[in-house]
Amino acid sequence: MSFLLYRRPGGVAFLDDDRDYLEMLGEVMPPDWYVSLHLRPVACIEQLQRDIQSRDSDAWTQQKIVNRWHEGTLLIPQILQYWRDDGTARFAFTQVGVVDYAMPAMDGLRVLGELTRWPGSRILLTGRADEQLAVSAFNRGMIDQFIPKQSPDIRMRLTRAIKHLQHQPDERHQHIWRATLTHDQHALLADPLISAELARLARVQGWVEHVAIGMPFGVLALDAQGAVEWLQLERSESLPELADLALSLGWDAQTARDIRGGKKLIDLTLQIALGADHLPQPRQPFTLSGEHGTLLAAVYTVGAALSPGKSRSHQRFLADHGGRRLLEV
Amino acid sequence: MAWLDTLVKGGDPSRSLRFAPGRLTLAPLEAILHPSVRRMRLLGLALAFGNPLLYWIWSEWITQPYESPWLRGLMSALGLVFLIKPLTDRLSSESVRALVTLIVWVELPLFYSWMYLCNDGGPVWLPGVCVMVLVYYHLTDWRIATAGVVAGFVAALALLQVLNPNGALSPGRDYSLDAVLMAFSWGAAMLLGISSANQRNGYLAHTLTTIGIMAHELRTPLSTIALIGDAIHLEVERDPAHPRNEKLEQFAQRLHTLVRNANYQIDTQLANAKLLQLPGHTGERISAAGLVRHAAASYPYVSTRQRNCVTVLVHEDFTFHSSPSQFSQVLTNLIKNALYSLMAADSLYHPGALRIEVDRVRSHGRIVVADDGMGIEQALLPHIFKPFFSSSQGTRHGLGLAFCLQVALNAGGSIHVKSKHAVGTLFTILLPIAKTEREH
Repeated sequence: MSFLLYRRPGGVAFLDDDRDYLEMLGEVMPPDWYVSLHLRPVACIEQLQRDIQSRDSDAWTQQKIVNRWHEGTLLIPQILQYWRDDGTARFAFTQVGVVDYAMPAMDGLRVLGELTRWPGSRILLTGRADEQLAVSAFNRGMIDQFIPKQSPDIRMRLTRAIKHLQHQPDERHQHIWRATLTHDQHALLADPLISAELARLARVQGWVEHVAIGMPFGVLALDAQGAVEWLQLERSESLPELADLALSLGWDAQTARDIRGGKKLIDLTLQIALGADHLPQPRQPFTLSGEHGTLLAAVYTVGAALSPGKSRSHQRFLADHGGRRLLEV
Repeated sequence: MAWLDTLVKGGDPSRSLRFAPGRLTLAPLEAILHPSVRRMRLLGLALAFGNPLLYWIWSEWITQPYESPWLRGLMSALGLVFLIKPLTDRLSSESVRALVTLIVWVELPLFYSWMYLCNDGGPVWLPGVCVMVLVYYHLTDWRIATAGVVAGFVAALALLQVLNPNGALSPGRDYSLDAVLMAFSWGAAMLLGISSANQRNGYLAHTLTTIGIMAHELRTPLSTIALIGDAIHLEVERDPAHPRNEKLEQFAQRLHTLVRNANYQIDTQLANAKLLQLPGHTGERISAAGLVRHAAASYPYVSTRQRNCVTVLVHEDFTFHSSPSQFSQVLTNLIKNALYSLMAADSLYHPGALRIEVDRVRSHGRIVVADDGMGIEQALLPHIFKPFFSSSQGTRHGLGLAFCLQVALNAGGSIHVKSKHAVGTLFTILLPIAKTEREH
């Protein structure tokens, strides 16, 4: 699977008519998920309908960043500004909806039928009698997956399925950020080996949100505590240009030689984007090799002053909204 | 309630009954309606003694143009067959049911049509035939009765042409009154027969729906219990140093096992409750040995001892066409019954107490499930494949064997039972071997 150009944590909404079942689902889902529990289909539909509007507005904000970039404004400061301005609002968007099929007021497929514009992923919980319906709904594209409630390992199956769907690309985001990449850059990010290595790096670094951009080429990422990191990506062909830039900015000839030879990378493009507040540092790069070529990469930390910080972090969002109480109204 | 709609939409039995156009014509044939031993004996006595009495009335007292002591003797003798004990004890057997169906056809539509034709109708045999038709529809399935009435009349007419015992029907006689009365009685009998079959199916469907709903309603609470088990497990993981963790893990494990077993039972009951909507003779090619081994291995035994008492013997494997899930359910039902019977006999579950064997008998494949349990009383044997009949009142709903029979019939096979009280029970499933394999 191609490395996602944009990814952020999304919420999971559960809808079931059984209070006990919902509360226990809330208990056993991973603590780093934002979970909303709905007892009433109408309330759940209303929340997800509101979600559609908020997502539209959010996507438009991202599109405007790219539009301004086309007009000459740098991407990195805009993205950092977007994260700071948004606070934690975007973490409340629901990414996966898990709906029970058999409910007194309205069956699960009818609920999903009311949400045709909602772009999130859908899981249907079924009884044995509903399996044929679920298969038919899956074939018609109404649901992404169905899980029988009687599955002996229901928690594991649900968790696995939700995790899988959380890593599915949001087509609108992919489309917006694809515009910043050249064909070669996109091919490298889509390379299975490089993509897997980047995904592993994201896990190791604890990134919860990231955006891949083409100019400068790299990944701007946010961890759960609201700290920002920049993964600088360079092709070997672009190293002489980076070395020349280092020389022109007053770096010594040895550093320039090291950059040209691929022994070091320096975050000069980040400094250009962030201004004098950011001090560049030469770093020993690591290699990302794939079928479409090789990239040199190094991770740099963005200063706290420019980052969203803890008060706007995903961790803070979960602390404020992680109660997992049943939403009855 | 929406969950009721769910079941209905989800394909519950009552729905298919309510709307399927072929629900009456395609329902399983009931060759003998209410096949109790007492009813069969009474019928036998009525035929054995009624025929000589009627012979005397119509030949000596109110004389009719045609009577035959030989025929009456034959009819009387045929009635005596219903008094033979080995026969009335085996009313569940296919061959016995076929024999009873044939005798009833000879005694009623064939004999009465013959007598009507030989006597040229008249005040005795016209109402006689009308009453015969009504009685016939109360003794057998309405589809058999309809075919039987037509076949009986045509056969009698053909015999008359060949044997011509007392001259043919009167030429030029107006038979319109006879035709109207016969059509009226036949129509009434057919209507009553269909309506009664519909009512029986209706009761069956509603009860099956209820079972389906009960099973469905238990799903979510069971799933919640499984999640409670998970939650306990997660709590243990959060505080690994807690001194009672081992015990808590055991409780969580036990909850999971209970839920798994309960779900298995619910799946079994739901599968059985779909008795009336089983698809016809289609399906995949199945290896009997593979299926038997899988069913025996995946059954949720309550103890290792119980598991070890099951022996699977494959003398010669064969393949047949059926639905693997349905046939697994058949084996599950038979294993469940056998284990229940062993439990009732206070068995120690010695190895081999439950034996499942696979082999070939001429052109058929055979699966035998035999146990050393309590056995089934002879009087109950004719009824055990009927829906809602259970030898243990109050604890079982009696759908399992009806399901087994239906699946075996759909696969083009048959199922038979032999049992001796306090000795054990032996179920034999005979199945046609898959064609290409036989050709090879």
